[in-house]
Amino acid sequence: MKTADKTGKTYISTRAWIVGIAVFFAVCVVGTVLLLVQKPGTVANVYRDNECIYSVDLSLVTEGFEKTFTDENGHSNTIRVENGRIRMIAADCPDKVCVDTGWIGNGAVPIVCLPHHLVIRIEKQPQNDIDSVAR
Amino acid sequence: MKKAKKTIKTVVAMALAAALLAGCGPRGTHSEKPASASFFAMDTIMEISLYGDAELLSKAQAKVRELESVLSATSGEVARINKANDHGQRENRENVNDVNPAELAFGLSFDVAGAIESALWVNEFSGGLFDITIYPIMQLYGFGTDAPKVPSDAELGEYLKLVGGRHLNFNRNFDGTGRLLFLPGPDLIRNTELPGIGIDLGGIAKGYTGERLADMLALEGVTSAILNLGGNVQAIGTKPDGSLWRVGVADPDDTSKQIGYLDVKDCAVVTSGSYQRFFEKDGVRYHHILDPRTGKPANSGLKSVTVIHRNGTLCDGLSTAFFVAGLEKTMELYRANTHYDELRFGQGEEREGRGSGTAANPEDSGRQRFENNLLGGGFEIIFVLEDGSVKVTKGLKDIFVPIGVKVEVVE
Amino acid sequence: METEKEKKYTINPDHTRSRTRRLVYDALLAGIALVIFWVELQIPPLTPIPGIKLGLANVLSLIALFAIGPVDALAVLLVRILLGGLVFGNPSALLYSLAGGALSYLVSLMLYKLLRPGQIFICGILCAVAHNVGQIAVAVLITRTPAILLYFPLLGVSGVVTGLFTGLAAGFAIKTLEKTN
Repeated sequence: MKTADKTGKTYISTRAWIVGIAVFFAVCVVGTVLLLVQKPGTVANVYRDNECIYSVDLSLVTEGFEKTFTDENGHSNTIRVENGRIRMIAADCPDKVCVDTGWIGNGAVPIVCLPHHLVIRIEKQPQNDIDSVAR
Repeated sequence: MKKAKKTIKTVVAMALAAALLAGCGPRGTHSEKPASASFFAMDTIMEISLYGDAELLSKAQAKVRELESVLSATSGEVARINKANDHGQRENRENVNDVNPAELAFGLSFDVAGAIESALWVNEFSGGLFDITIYPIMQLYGFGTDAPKVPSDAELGEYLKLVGGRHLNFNRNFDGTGRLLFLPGPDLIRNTELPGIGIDLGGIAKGYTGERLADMLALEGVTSAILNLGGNVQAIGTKPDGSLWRVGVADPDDTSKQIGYLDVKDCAVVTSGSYQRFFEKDGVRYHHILDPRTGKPANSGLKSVTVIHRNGTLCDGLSTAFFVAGLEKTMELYRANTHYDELRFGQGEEREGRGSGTAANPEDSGRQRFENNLLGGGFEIIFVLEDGSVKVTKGLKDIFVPIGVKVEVVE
Repeated sequence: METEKEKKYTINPDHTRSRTRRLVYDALLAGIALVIFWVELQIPPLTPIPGIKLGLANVLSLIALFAIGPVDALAVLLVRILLGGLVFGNPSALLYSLAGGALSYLVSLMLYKLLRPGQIFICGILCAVAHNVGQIAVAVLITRTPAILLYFPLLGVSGVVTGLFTGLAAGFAIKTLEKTN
């Protein structure tokens, strides 16, 4: 793997680098495929600081609606929920990355609002820690 | 030279590890796990979770068994009363005066008396829409038996004569025991076609059991427990860390899912729905919540009603009564029995400038209003209508968190 | 003393020996980086996934590193991130960029001594991956949601692909610079 150049200094051959990177790439591709292939579920969980503050089963939504989350500093994020998909429609964060992310409906991509510590993920189960269910 | 590659790996690994560690911010972590038990009783699954002495679980389970044996309409004290009254009332008499009143009067144990007292309260409160004297008609349908049947209208008309609060005279003694006198009246006594009057505590037994368990656990010093008695949720205190219990409300169309949840402490959350117990005949579904006015399964345009109230027994009875009553009638009762304005002492003072001066967070005031209403003996309701829409009473605004449904606040 | 190897891909040692010249080169590269950064912002994102973009501005940092030196690369990087963040971006994106930039700079510093002229594209790839690692770490730390780590493979793939592109671009640019000297 190591080769010496004219000056006698050793270096790692380009081939070795490429093999290493290819292995890493392959692992990532497998990971991505696993991420995309898994049946992601239909529940959108909204987390703030890793605490689920809202859950909605997107497959159950018949009529779209909007909901606003306000943090203790008064910063707000507004989501729009429709059948099978969810997006951030407004946020008073400076970067609007969350809004630009657009609709999500499967598990491949989360919506992240970094300034407001907000994450929306599509998962199988509502993460709302229900202790008991009246039925 | 490989060292450099290793260093990269180390840096990446360290970054990820740091991220993981920092990410594990706990939510409601408890140093201890609750002691839990689930078992089958009263034809349903009961779950008890409590923080404290695990010994209490077996005690609680024994208590449930004890209550089951007295409250059941098919065995135990209530069954015995029904049977004896049937006998006393039905025996062919030449003369009504031959009936020995002692045959129609029964001493009641503490628990049966307690359950009947609450049931009669709900009966009066709801204008007769919850009635334990529905027993003979329940028998006619045969809910829970292998051979349920659909009675004819004529049959129901006859049997309805047996139903009504007027047929019962109830007294509760100072020691908590009671006395129940059946009042069939001469017509019913002469009518040998009809069975005797009977009582069915099924609409209130689970709620009463939850209430009694809560009392028992509280006396044992438990400050944190949650009971789920066949779907009746009874919250005792809060979680050990002081956070509220999160109670989900089942989706009537798929009880493995929830239409939403709410956070509560020290109260009961009880749902009545047509999906809970039913049989199908000729493609028609007959559910177990009978309208005491018609003797038929209540058809009030609701799929389920969930009531939140501090008293588990009343909560259970009220949810059944409200299911029969339907949205409009229930909201009349709600409006007449909800006293937000009288109960807002604290906020009233603040408005006059005598308070601490801290601006109330709107979310807090919603919580305050909800808690005040419950403390004042009020109740809150979640309706699921036939068309699937969900309506809640105004105290649940910002308290009930829907999952996948749109919720409307009814005034 | 400069080794023969280093000389090989330096723009022209004579040029950068003068402080003023060096400053001019750095400023030029930083300026181009800023413009490319701005242009890239104007292009609608290829994917909706935040954090996946070409990162063309990084080409300039790579050029600065291999054609002039580490200090210059740092200068170009910082000017681009700070000015870019302040002028076009916003504080939180700045944090993203800083974390990603810092990590990718560290990686490039390690590779600087290690790589031969023809291997610059490797630095591009590893820098891009490091950049994404930095971003994802920031996202996990700030939102305290470790579950975001699940998306690492996705960003790893995108890092390799975009990094290959920027790395090759930087390699060609440096080669061309050598010829023009």
